[in-house]
Amino acid sequence: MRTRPVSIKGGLAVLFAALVALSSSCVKKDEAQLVIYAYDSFASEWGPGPIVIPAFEAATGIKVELVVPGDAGQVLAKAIDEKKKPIADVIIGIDGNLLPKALSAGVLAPYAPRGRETIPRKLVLDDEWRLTPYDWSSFCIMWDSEKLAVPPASLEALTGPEYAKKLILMDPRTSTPGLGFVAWTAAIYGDGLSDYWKRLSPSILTMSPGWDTGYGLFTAGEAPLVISYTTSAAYHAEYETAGRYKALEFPEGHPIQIEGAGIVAKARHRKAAEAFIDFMLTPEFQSALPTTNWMYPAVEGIALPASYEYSRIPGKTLTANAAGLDDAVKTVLDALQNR
Amino acid sequence: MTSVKAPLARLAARPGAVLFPAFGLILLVPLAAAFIPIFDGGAVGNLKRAFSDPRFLRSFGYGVSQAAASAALAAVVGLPGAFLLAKRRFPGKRILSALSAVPFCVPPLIIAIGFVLYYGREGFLNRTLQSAFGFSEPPIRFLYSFAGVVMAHGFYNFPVVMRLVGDAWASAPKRHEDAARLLGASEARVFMTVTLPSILPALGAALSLVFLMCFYSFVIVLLFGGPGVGTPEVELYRAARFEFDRPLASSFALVETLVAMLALAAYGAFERRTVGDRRDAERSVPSRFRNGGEVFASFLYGAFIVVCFVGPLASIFVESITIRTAARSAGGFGWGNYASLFARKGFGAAIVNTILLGLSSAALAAATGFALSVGLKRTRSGIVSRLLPLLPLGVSSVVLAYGWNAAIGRPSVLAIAMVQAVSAYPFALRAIQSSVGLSDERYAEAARSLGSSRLGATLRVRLPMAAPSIASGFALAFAMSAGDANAMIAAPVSGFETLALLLFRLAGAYRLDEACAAAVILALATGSIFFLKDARDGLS
Repeated sequence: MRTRPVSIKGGLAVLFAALVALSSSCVKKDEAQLVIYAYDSFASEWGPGPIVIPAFEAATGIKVELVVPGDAGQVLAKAIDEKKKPIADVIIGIDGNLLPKALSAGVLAPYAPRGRETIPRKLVLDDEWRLTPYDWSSFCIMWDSEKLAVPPASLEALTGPEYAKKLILMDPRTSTPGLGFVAWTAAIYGDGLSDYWKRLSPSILTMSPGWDTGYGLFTAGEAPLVISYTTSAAYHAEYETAGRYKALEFPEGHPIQIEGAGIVAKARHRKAAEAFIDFMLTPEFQSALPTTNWMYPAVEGIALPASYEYSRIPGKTLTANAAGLDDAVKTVLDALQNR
Repeated sequence: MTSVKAPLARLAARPGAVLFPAFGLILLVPLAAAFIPIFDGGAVGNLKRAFSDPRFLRSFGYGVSQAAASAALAAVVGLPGAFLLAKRRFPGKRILSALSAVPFCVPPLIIAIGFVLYYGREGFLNRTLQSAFGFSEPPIRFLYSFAGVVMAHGFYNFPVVMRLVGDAWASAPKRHEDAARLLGASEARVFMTVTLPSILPALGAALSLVFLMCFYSFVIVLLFGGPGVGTPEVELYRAARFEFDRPLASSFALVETLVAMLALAAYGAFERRTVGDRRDAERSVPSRFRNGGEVFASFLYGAFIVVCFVGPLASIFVESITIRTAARSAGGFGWGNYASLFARKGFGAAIVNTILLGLSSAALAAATGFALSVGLKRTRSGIVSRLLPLLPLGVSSVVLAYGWNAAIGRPSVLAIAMVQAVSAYPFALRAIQSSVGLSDERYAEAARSLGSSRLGATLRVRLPMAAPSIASGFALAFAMSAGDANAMIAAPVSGFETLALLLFRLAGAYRLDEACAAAVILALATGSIFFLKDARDGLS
């Protein structure tokens, strides 16, 4: 009986030590000279973060703290939460659909970066330069040519009975590409949006919570069609055998997703933030994007890897109306739920 | 001096008086912080706005109906298992019992992947059936529908029913059954009039618990529920993240939590009748199978469990050892996925972090569980003392993590440990309560009459007597922490990664094979904790 209390005390000591170790590990010294919020895939070991952040630090001597609040929506949500007393200096990953929310919340401050003239006019999302675009890609339907002989030729053709349960989408409530597809159909169909989705509904196998899960189902062979980006074809060409998965081009045209970064209003390290935005437009940063973020560089004239031959830029580009998107999502969900 | 000392001494003498509110705080502070935005522009107006939104009621309708159907399926599948665990001895029993780790420790994303790999249109079952019978279209097509959601939830959670009802069944007073038999009652009558009433509370508790877990389910509902389907959790997420409408999100969260509280109240009522005074309960010794019919029925049940439930889990293992060729077709088997996982920078750190976080949250959960079980033994009723220990079951850890984030301003590992501890302590408490309930008060009384203080009596008498069950509760909480990534996804701490979080990132970075390998390691680790715990508890 004498050993038991001792072992309890020993156990308690170990636990106390664990708690102390844990709490000390999360006390961080505030020595960063620049705080950046980025979405998870940007910062992950496969993303551009591990290449471009050290490069920036080496080039400028500015020490960066990269914070990952989650996906791009969470990046913006956190910045809005902290509006009165901002922690971040730069936020990365605001796309065309998130921009109206960022602007109306007033979290971004204007800064016209050095090298802005190298960005094509059509990619500039804000004339006041509260957001600097750094990369872009076209939405498209990806086709698994081994599982489906005849691919759909247009958005309209997707509603055909031969494509019943053959299409994987993402939920527009939880995913950026999901939202992008709604914007796409809204741009084409306008007032006929609800009707289109009622016709499309039998073709949809599932609307997954995020792009990764949906695309995983696609490559697992669950359905031969999925919403993604034209650059997905380049990804397959780079790491796998090219040719099985193809990007479909539709005559209606394709919307593009443009990603940008901006300086936070009342940023604590304004000069360092400006240096970072400038750095984002240098060849060093831009040439890292095609094979890490799997998007086209925003700056013209950056050399692309050979695998990008499989990602064709669609002939017709659409501009989607981000402002009416909330209503479009509501229309689509009503159409799906009241079949 | 005494005026200062006396209250302090009184407090120290009543650990419950300090610990009780303290543990209330680690739950209520983040919860309150999460609900604060509801007052932004008037709580009544915000709630009205939420209720007038058609998607609000629609999502509640769907959420409640899928959760109820899932709980019913879990009960149907779980009851035979409960009987087998409680009453029979057979080879493989511990493995069946260790399946109860699954609902607590295997993340739903992994269950979803397993179901796709197994029941999917290109899954194992369909491929087998198609090549065997030459179907041109996959014959099994239920996965992406209401039925798919219910199947996934029902099979995911049946071990909860099996475990809770099995425990109650094992300790059902055998004397009463024997007495009824002596008085000439038939076996059927004994079951209906003696056995069934004694396991009904446990069944009710298990049903409420499964309902709660399915009500908060997210990934499985979105993936399998059909396009555009919504539960309150989905709508909450959308309001917070895409519409940036915090007041609306808080209204959803509040109503969602209130609905969950109803299920929780039911759970509490059932649970209280389950954990009665078991001092006179003589555990009946499980026997061998009585006849060939029993053997056959049990074999069928086992085969059913293997085909329907173990199959999807096994698919994850098979995927983890499948080496893919460049064209993404299976190119044979090997351990390559594991090798690249182990070689990953940060894998070692993830293991260390998992253990540190697990130890901390398990220590908090076990301490909470012990303090509450001592405290609850003293206080007889009172709505607070009855509801407080159960409250975490009705609150999603995502809400708690958001709340901590809002309360302290930046993500912290300690806050995550507290969130996980809060989620785990109802289960730790349950494990501990059974033995604190059993421990004879006379020893504690004797210690006190010999001059020991209240604290001393608790530390020297109650604690050692409860030590084995505290260890059980600790193990349970550790395993739950190891499998949990929700808290960290909701409030990520930069630079801090655990195995469960790594698994999510791998799945999210389109490295499904390695994610499956990580899932297998996680499942083996948590499963063996359950296995050891069962062995220790003498369940064999």
